Amino acid sequence: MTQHSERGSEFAGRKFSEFATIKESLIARRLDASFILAPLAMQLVASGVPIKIVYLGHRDGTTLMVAKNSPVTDFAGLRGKKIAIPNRFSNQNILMHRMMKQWGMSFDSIQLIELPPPEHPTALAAGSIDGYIVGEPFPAQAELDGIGRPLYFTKDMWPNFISCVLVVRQELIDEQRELVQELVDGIAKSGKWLDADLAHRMDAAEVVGKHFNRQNPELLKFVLSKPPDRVKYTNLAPLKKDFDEIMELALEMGVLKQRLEFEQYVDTSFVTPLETLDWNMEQLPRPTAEATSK
Amino acid sequence: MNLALLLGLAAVLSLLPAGKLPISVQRWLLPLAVALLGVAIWHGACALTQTTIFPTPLESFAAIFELARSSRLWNDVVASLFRVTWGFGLAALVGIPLGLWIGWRTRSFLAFNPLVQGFRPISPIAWIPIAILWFGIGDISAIFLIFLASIFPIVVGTTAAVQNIPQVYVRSASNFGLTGFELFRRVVLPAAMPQIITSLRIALGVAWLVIVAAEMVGMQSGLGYLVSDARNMGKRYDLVVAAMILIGLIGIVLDVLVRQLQNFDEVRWGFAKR
Amino acid sequence: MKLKVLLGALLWTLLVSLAHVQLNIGWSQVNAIVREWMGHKRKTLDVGFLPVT
Repeated sequence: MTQHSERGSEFAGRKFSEFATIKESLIARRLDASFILAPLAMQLVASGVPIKIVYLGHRDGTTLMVAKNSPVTDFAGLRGKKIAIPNRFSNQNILMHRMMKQWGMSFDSIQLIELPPPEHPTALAAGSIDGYIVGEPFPAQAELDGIGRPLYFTKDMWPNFISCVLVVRQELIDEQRELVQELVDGIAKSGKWLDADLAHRMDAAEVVGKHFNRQNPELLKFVLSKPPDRVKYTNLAPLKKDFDEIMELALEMGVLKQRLEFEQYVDTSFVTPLETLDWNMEQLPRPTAEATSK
Repeated sequence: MNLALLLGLAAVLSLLPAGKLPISVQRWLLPLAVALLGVAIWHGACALTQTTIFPTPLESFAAIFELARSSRLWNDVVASLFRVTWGFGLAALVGIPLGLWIGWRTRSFLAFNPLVQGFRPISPIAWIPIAILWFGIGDISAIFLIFLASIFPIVVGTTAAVQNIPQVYVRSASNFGLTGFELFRRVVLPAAMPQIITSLRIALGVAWLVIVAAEMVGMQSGLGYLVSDARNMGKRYDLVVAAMILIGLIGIVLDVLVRQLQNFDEVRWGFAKR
Repeated sequence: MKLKVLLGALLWTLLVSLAHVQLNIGWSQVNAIVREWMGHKRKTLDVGFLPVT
C-alpha cells in the first residue's frame, strides 16, 4: 500500500505488523483511522465499534501463488491441497470460497490455513504449503526469488478485487469532517497520480521502499509494473454491489454472523469525482530522513 | 565447510591447555572458545544442509554491520533500554518494599501471597490487549508490560529473602534491644540483601526477554520491533538473526552490570566465594 | 555505597531518557505529547496500515 503524507493538516502513517493491534487501537480510540481488511471492518461494526468505511485502499493487488514447478494449471488442480490465507477475516479467504463455488467445488475441498503474510513465501519454499493467496509484495517476492509462480491474479478471478479499506471512527467523521475529506481526497489524488504514469509508480516505489516500508524498492517496482494492472489505485469509491456480494459470501461461509446493511458500515459522502482532483506536486514536501525516521 | 572445521579446530585446541592458564585468562578464553565452537557448528550445519533460507554466521555478522551502519540501530537499542530502565526501575521501587512488607508480616503474607502467585504465571504478552486499551500504542504500554514482567520475580524473591532470614539473627538483635524500624534497617534489610539482588538479576533478565516480545506488537522502535520489521521485509532472516545476536549481547552486558551490585562489601558476605 | 548506586541509577535513567527523546521521539513531539496529556486535541491524524496490499 502506498502512503502519501500531506501537509496543510498533518497526517502520519503508522506502520503496524499485524491487524490485531490495529483493531485494538481502533477500539481504544488510540487510532482514529486505518487501512484494514474489508471483512474485518464489517466484523468490527457488527460488534459495535463505531467505525465507517469511507474509501478503498486499492483494487486488485492480490495473487494466488503456487510452487515454481507445481503441476497445477487451474483452480481445480488445487483440490485437496493446502493453501495459506492471511486471515479468516480477509477477502482472500472469501475469494477462495467464491472460486470454489464457481468451480463447483465444496467448501472443504481445499485446506485453508491462516498464516501471517511474511511467512507465506518461506512456507512455500519449505514445502509446508502448496500455495498461498495474499496481498503484494509477498507473491512478487516468491516470483522474483524463483520459488513460486502466479497461478491467477485477482484481475483474472474477481476483477476489481477489494482487499483493504480505509475506516474512520464515527467521532472523527462527526467532529472533523474536513479532515476526513482531506484524507480521502489525498488518497484519491495519490491514486490518480500513480495510475496516470508508470514513471510516477517507480518514483513512489523508491520513496515508499526506502522511507516508509523498508521494503526493497526493486521489489515494489516489480509489483507496480509487471503487469501494470497487478494493482490499481483508482476507482476507489466503495460501491454497494461490491460490498453486498462480500457480505453475502461471508455470511454463507459463516465468517460473519450478522447481516449488515451497506449504509450501516459505509459512509460514501466523502467520495468526490476524480476529475476534480489533482495534486500540485510542487507543494508536496519530499519525505526527509527526519520526518520518516519514526 | 572448511571454515567451520577450521573454527571448530581452533576452539578445541584453545581449550586443551586451558586448565593450566591463569584464571584471568581463562575468564575470557573459555567462553570465547565455546562461542567459536558454536559458530563452527552453525556454519557446518548450514553447509551440510545447503540451506538457502537460514543465514550463515558470515551473513548474520554482515547484517550486524549493515544495521550498525544504518542510523536506526542506536535508536532501537536506546528505545528498548529506555523502556526496560523505566519498567524495571519502577518495578524495583514498588516491588522491594512490597516484598519486604509481605515477607515480614504474617498477615500480609497470608492475604497477598495467593494473589501474587495467581498473577505471576500470566505472561505479560497476554496483557498486551489490555495494555493497549489502557495506555495506547506507545512507550507507556511497553513500560507497563516490563513493569508487570519484572515485579513478580522481585516481590517473590524479596518475600522469600525476608522469610529465610535465620531466626537467630532476629532473636539476638532483639536481645540487644533492637525493635521495629531499627531492627528492620540494621538486621532484616542487610540480611535479605543478597537474595534481593539475586531476584533483581532474574527480574532484569525477564524484563529484557519480555521487551523484545512486547515490541513486536504495535511499537515502532526497539530491538523487538527490529526483529518484527526484518520479518516483514521478506526473506531477511540474516537481519532477524543479527537482531537476535545483538539482543543476546546486550543481555550479557546488563547482567554483568547488575552482578557488580553483588561486589559491595555489605552484600559480599551473602554470596559464596567464586 | 548505596548512595553511589542510587546516583548511578538516576544518572543512567536520565541519560537513556534524554537519548530516547532525542533519537526516537524528537523534541518537537514532546510539546505535542504534553499538550495531549493536558486534554487538547491531537493535531496530527495517525492513519494505521500494514505494509501489505
